[in-house]
Amino acid sequence: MAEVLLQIKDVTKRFGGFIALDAVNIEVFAGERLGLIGPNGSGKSTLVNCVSGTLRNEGGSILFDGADIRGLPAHQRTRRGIARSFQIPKPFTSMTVLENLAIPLEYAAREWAHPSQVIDDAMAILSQVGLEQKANERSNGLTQIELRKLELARAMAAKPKLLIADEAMAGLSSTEVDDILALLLMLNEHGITIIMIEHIMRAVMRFSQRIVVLDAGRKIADGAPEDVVRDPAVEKAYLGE
Amino acid sequence: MEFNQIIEALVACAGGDCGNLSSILDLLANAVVAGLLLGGFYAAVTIGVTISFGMLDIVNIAHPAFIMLGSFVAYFVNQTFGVDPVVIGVVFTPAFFLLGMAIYRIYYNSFEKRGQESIRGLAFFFGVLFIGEVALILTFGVDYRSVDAAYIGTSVNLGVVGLPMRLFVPFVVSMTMMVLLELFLGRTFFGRAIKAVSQDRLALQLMAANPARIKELAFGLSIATASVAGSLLIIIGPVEPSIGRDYIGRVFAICVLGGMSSVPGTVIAAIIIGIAESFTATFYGPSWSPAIAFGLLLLVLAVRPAGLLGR
Amino acid sequence: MRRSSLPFLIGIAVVAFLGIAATRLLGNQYYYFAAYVVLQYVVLATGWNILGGYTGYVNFGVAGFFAIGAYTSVVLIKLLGAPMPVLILAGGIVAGLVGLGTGYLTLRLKGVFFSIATLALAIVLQTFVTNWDYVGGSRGVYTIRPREVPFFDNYVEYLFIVMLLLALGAVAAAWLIERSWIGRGLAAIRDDEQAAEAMGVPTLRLKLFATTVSGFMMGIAGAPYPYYVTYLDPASGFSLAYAVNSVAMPLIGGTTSAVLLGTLQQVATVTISSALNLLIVGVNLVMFVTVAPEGILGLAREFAEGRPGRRAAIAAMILGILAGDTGIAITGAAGAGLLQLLGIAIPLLTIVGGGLALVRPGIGGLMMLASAAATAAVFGLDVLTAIPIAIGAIGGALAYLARYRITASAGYEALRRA
Repeated sequence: MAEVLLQIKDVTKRFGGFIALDAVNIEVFAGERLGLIGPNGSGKSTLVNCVSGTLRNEGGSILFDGADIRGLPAHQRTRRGIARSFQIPKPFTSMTVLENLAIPLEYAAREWAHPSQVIDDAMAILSQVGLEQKANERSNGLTQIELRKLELARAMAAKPKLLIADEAMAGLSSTEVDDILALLLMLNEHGITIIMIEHIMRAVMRFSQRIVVLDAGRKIADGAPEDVVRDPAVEKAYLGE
Repeated sequence: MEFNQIIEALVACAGGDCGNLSSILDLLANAVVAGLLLGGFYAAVTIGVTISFGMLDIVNIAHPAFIMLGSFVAYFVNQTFGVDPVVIGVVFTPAFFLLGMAIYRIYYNSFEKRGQESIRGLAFFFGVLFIGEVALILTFGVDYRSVDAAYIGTSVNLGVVGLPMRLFVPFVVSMTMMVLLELFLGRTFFGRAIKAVSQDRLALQLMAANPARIKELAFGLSIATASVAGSLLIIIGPVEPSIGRDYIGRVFAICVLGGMSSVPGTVIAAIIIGIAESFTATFYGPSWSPAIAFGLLLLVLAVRPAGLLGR
Repeated sequence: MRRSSLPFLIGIAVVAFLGIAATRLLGNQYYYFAAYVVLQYVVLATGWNILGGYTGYVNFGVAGFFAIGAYTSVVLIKLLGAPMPVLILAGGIVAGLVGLGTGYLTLRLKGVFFSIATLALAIVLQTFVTNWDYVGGSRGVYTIRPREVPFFDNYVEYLFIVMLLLALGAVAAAWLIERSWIGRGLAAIRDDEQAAEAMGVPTLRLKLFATTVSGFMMGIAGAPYPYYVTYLDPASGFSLAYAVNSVAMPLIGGTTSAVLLGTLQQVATVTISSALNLLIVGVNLVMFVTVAPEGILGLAREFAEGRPGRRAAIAAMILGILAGDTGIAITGAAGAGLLQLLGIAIPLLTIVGGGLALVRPGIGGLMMLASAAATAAVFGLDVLTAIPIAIGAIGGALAYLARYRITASAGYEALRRA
C-alpha cells in the first residue's frame, strides 16, 4: 500500500466573499499519476497555489510527507520537494535557458553543489526535455513549446518529490502534446509523483491512474479514469443539465 | 503650546479658574477646524493620484509637479490679467486634461504596452517630477509667489472659531469637485467604464484596444484635477517650486489610507491627515507637518499589508 | 554569465588618474574636489544598483541614506572626534540598518510601495534633521578638518583617496555579488519574483540583504561628506540632485553595470555645474528610460549587431542628445527671460528628436533639423552656437538616412519590436 505523499484536508480558500475552495479533501499517493480536472473557475489553479505556497488557505490543512506545511513560504515548500510549473510560462527573461535551470538547482537543492556540477545537472535535464541545443540562448527568444518545456525543466531542476504540471499542454499541437506527455511519463517512471492539471482530455485519460474532479470549489469525483468520465455529476459540471 | 500647559489649565479649572482652559479649548477648536478645511483641500490634491494610482495602477509620482504647474499658471494669469484664481483653475482644466492624455500616450507606448517594466515607468515619472520642478525654477525663480483675490486675508467668525477665507474657499471648491467626480464615476458611462477598467486588470490585458482609450481619458482627468488643486494651493498660501516635494508623501499616504480607489475614502483620509497635521503644528510647530503624513504612510504599509497586497 | 565589470574598474582608474594628474600638473586642488564628487556618485550609484538594477526595486530615497551617513559622521565627530574609518563604518552600518528596517516594513508588498516609502523616508529624515539642534538644525553645522593629515599633503587629497578606495571597494563588492549565486537569485527576483520564489529562492531574505547592502554603501558614500563640504545643512545633504543622479546613472548607463558611462556624464555635468545641469540630467533620464530600455550598453550592443538602419538611428539619437545637452549649456545659460526660455526649449526639442529617432526616425530627424534651424535663427551662428547646430543637423540627417535604410529593408519589423 503506497504511502500518502500529499494530504489536502478540508482546505478552504476565500477571496473576499467568493469561496474559491470549499473544504476540499484529496489524498495523493507517492509515485502516482493524478489528473486534476474541472471546468474553468472550478478552483484548480487556486488549489495548486495553496499547495505550492503562493496563496494561503484559510481553512483546513495541507500535509506533505507527513509534515504540516502551513505557514511555510513557497520557497521552503519547494526545498521540501514540491515543484510546480506555471500555466503561463514565467521564464527568467534576462537569463539564458541554462541559467534558468541554475536557479532551482542552486536554491531548491537540499545540499550544496559545485558550479560545474550545477552545469552538468542542468545540461542533463535539458537533454531530457530536448532543449540542450538552446542552452545558451536567452529564454525570451523561445517558441511556445520550448517555453513549456523550459517551464517543466525548471520544475525538474528543483529535484522534486511532487511535481504539479499546471496546464502544461495548453495551446500546443497534437505532436507537441505527445512530447510533453512522454516527458511527464518518463519523470513518473523515475519516481516523481505527478499531478497533472489539464483540459486536454485524451492526455489526461492516457496519463492518469486516478482522476479528481473539481467544480465550483468542491471535489465532485475521485476515482479511476473510466469511472470518473462516466460519472453523471461530472457530465453535469461540464455540460450543464 | 505644550501638554503640561493643558494639564495646568485643567487643574486650574477644577479649582475654579477656567480662563486658561477655555482659551486652550478655543485654540484646539480652531486647530480642528483649520485641519478640517486643510484636509478638504488635501482631498483635491490627492484625488488625481487616487485616479491614476488607485484606479489605473499608474504610479504617477509626478502629480505634485502638475499641481505646482497649476499654481504657477494661476499666479501668472492672476498677476497679468487679474482673474480670480479659482476661475483660472477651472478654465485651464481642458488644457491640463489634454496634457494628461499626451503624457499617458507616451507612458503607454513606452512602458505599459511592454508589460512589467515598472522601474522604468517610475523613473520616467520621477524624471518628469524633477524636470517640472527645475523648469519652474528656471522660469519663475525660487522666490515665493502668491495671488491676489478679494477674499484672501479675510476671515469669518463662527463663535470662537475663525474660518479663514483662504482655507474656506479652497475647502468649498474642493468638496464641490469631489462631489462632481463621485457623480461622474458613479452615474456616467465613462465614469463607470473607468471603475470597470480599474477592477479587472486581467480583462485589460486580454482586450487590448478599448481600455487604453479609457485609461487615457482617466489619466487626462487625473491631471485636470491638478489645475484646480494648484490654483487652490496658491490661494492657501505663497508657493515656490520645491513645495511639491512635501506633497509626494502626503498624497500617497492619503490615497493608501483612503483605500486606494475610493473618492469618499480619499476625502475622509485627507481630513484625518489634515487634522493630524493641524494638531501637530499647534503642539510641535509647523515644521513637523510633512513628517506626519509619511509616518502614517509607513505605519499603514506596515500594519495593513494583507489589504494592500492582492490588488 | 554577466557582462564584465572590468570596464568599471578601468573607468574608475581613469578618473582617478586624470584627477591626480590634473591636480599635480595644474597645481589646482579643484580637480580633487571634482573627482571626489564623481567617485562619490559612483559609490552611490553602485549601492543603488544592487537593489534597483540587480533586484528590480527602485529606491528614491537615496538622499536620505546619503544624509544618514553624513549626519552620523557629524554626531560622531562632535561626540568623539572619531577618525575616518570609524565614521565610514558607522555611517554605513546605521544606513544599512535603516535600509533593513524600511525593507522589512515594505518589501512584502508590491515594489511600488517600497519606492514610495523610500521617498517618504527621505523627507521624514530631512524633517527630523532640520529639527535636531545637535546637528545644527536648519542652520546647518560646521565641521573643521583636522590639522594633521594622515599620509598626504593636504586634506582634500586625503579625502579624494578615501573616496577612491571606497569606490573601488564598492564596485568590487558589487561585482562579486553580481557574479555569485546571490546575484543570480537577485536577478531571478527582478525577472519574475513569483517564479523565483517557486523555484526555491528565499525572496524576502535576499531582498532584505540587498536593501541592507545598498543602504550600507549609500551611507559610506555620505560619511566623509561633512569634512568635504565643511558646512553641511539639510538642504544640501538631502538634495534631490542626489536621487536623480544616482537613479539616472544606472538607468542611462545600462542597468547591471557601466556606471562608468554615467561617470563620464557626471564629469561633464560637474564641469558645467549649474541648475541647468540638473535639467539636462532629468531630460536625459526621461529620454533614455523611454526609448532605450537597456541604456547605453544596450545601444552599443545593438550598434554592434548592425541591423539595417539601426546604426544610423542610434548615432542620430546620440548626436541629438549631445546637440541638445550642449545647446542647453550654451544657449540656455545666456540671456534671460524669453530668450533663456527659448535657449532651453529649442535644445530640448533636439533631445526629444534624438530620442524619437530611435523609434520614429522620420519625425525625429525633422525635429532635430527644425531645432537646429531655430537655434540658428534665434541665436545666430557663431563659434559657440555652431556646435549644437552642426551636431543637431548631422543627427537629423542621419535620422533620415536611418529611415530610408529601414523602410528599404525588412529591418523595419525589428524596429517596431524595439
